[in-house]
Amino acid sequence: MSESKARETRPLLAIFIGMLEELIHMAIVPVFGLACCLVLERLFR
Amino acid sequence: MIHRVRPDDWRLVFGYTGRVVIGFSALYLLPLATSLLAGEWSPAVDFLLGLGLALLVGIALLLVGASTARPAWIHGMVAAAVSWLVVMLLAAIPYILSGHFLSYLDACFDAMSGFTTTGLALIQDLDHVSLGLNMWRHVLTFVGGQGVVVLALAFLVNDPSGGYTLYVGEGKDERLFPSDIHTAKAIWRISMGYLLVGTAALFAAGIAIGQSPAQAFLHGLWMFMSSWSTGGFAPMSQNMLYYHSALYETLTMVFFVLGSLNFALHGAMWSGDRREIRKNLEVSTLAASLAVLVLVACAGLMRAGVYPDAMALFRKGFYLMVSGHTTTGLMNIYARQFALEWGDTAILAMIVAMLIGGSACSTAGGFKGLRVGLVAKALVRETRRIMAPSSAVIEQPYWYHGKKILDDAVLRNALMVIVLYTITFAATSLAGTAAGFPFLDAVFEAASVTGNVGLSIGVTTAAMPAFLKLTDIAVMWMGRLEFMAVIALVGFAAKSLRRK
Amino acid sequence: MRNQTRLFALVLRAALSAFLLYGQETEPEKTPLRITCAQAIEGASEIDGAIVAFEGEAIGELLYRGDHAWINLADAEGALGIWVESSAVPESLVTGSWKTSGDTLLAVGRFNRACAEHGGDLDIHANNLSRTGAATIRLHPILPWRLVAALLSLVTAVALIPVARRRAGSIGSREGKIRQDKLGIGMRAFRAGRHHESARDR
Repeated sequence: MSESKARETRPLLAIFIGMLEELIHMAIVPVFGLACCLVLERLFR
Repeated sequence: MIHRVRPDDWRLVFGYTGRVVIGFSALYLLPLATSLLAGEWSPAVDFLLGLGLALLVGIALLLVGASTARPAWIHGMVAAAVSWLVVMLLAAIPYILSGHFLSYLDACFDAMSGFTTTGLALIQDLDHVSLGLNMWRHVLTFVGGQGVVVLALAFLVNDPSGGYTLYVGEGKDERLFPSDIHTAKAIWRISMGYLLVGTAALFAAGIAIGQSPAQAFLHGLWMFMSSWSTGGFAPMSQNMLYYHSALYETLTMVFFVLGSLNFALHGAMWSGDRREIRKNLEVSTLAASLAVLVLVACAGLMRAGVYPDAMALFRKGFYLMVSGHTTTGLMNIYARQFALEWGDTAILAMIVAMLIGGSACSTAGGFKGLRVGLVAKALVRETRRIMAPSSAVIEQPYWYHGKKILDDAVLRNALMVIVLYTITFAATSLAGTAAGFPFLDAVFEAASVTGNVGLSIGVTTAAMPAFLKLTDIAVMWMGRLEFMAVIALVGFAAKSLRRK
Repeated sequence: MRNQTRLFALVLRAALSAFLLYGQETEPEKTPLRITCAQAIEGASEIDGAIVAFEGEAIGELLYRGDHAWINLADAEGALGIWVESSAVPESLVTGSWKTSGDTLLAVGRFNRACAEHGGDLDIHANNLSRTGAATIRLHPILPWRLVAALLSLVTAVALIPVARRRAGSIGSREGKIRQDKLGIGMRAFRAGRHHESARDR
């Protein structure tokens, strides 16, 4: 129980950083997509 | 396991359902407030009526629910199944009162579609609905993503044993924290955190693309809710195409990819565990699946000359593939364009993507990446077994919030659920063809319904036959609950009818 | 003789093609193809690049992007995006919403099935946008029976709250604490056989 309480009261800044890290990781998706599309455009032109 | 189902067992189920319904009724306050603030008096009355009826039904069920039955997990499972149906019937009330639906069945369809975060819609004249009604549509999908039951858990703290089994019946088995109540609250916190950030980001984007502040805020809020819950509703009839914006599309893509991830993964990331996202079996399975299917689909589209350049291919082909794979369903093309322009290769890739779906314990639907990953690991294990001496003991490790060894019980259940999804998908395809739709159209739509996706090839319209609407409602419901709760309900009902 | 016929056919074909390709462009206002939303989508490949005329109600908002703007027009079958120069937008345009039916506009311009300028959007680049109908107010009268029913149901529900509170406290909790241990064991066994498994407790 104390472990979960510690997690729950985790400082807001740490949560914000965690969120930011997730968003940065997610940026991979559109970057990958754009790269794919550029390569395919070259291939099929 | 209980051997007999007595009226007392049903009463216990209704009691739990009543609690969920009472918790659900609080949701009516959001669209009610929206309509009052916007001066939409008639819709405000509709939501008031909806609230009153929901409270009455909830209280009635609660009063009926006095029981001496011993609570077992089956009661929780059956209650999960029943509460979704009751909530659907109640959520449809403001819809039918709005005049934007041709029948109560259509209203129920949209209610179930919203709650299960599918996103297929039968609503008429969406461009002229009240702000309150749009708030209702999007709130339903946001809350549905979190699970009706999690909502009830978070706000009706009581009865630990029954409460936990309701949660499991929902198909969410991840323990973020030791206590189930904490898990429910943690899920809400993660969602609320992103709600703030996401709405702010989309609000800014809305201003940048030319919206007025009020509209930018409302659309931002709604589009975040739709994206994060991998729902697929949008406030306008053109869906994402209304915005004509790469920025808006990219933002929604980021949010719906995030929303398709396991809540426990969010929990891990937020507590500083960066390893998990790289080693997690489900993330790697979904990443591989997405990469392959996107390449196949986009290559097909480029070769057929559907889109003129890389940017168009990215904004349409890639965006829609990710929307489909995460089971979101946001669309920036017209439904019929799938059928008329995409070609069979891309369509087939999309169907597979929709069926595989997103992560377990997330807002996404489909088979789930974890199950597909486990099956892939099993294939590897079988290959190793064939190559190894017969006396060798083959262990197949994988990483899923810790190092695990593939065991047959886990694999059996993964395969069973995949089989159930596949059977459901096949039956829904059959229903579509029986209704007179072309084969690939029926299959596409069936994949969309089964996986709670929401992309449409043009089959889902108000002109659809009633039996197909009913089939779709049932399939959306079963898929969202991942079958277990529905099987429990059927078994429960069958046992209660059997003579002692 | 045969060669002469062939030559004649060739010349005729060339003349017809020239007329179709160039003859129309000399009088653009007379030849835009009148389309509905469904026709635009169903026949998108056929009319791609052609000059079309589309009439619909302005919905949502005017989305200004620099010196151009997007306006989405809706007819009975759906809505299409119109890209137009800001200067071509009619004065004091009223768009449709719950409260109003917006101005009806006629957009004439080039139809694009997958616009290269706009990331593959199906759109119309209008060079002419004119108002053909004025906005009207939409009325939504409150039906008295609904208001009465709403108040009645709320009052009844509120009256029943104390009864419900008492009943809520008695569901399962009698057995709850005693059963929790057995349930915990049962749950672990159940989870061992569940479809997606985190095997956290092992």
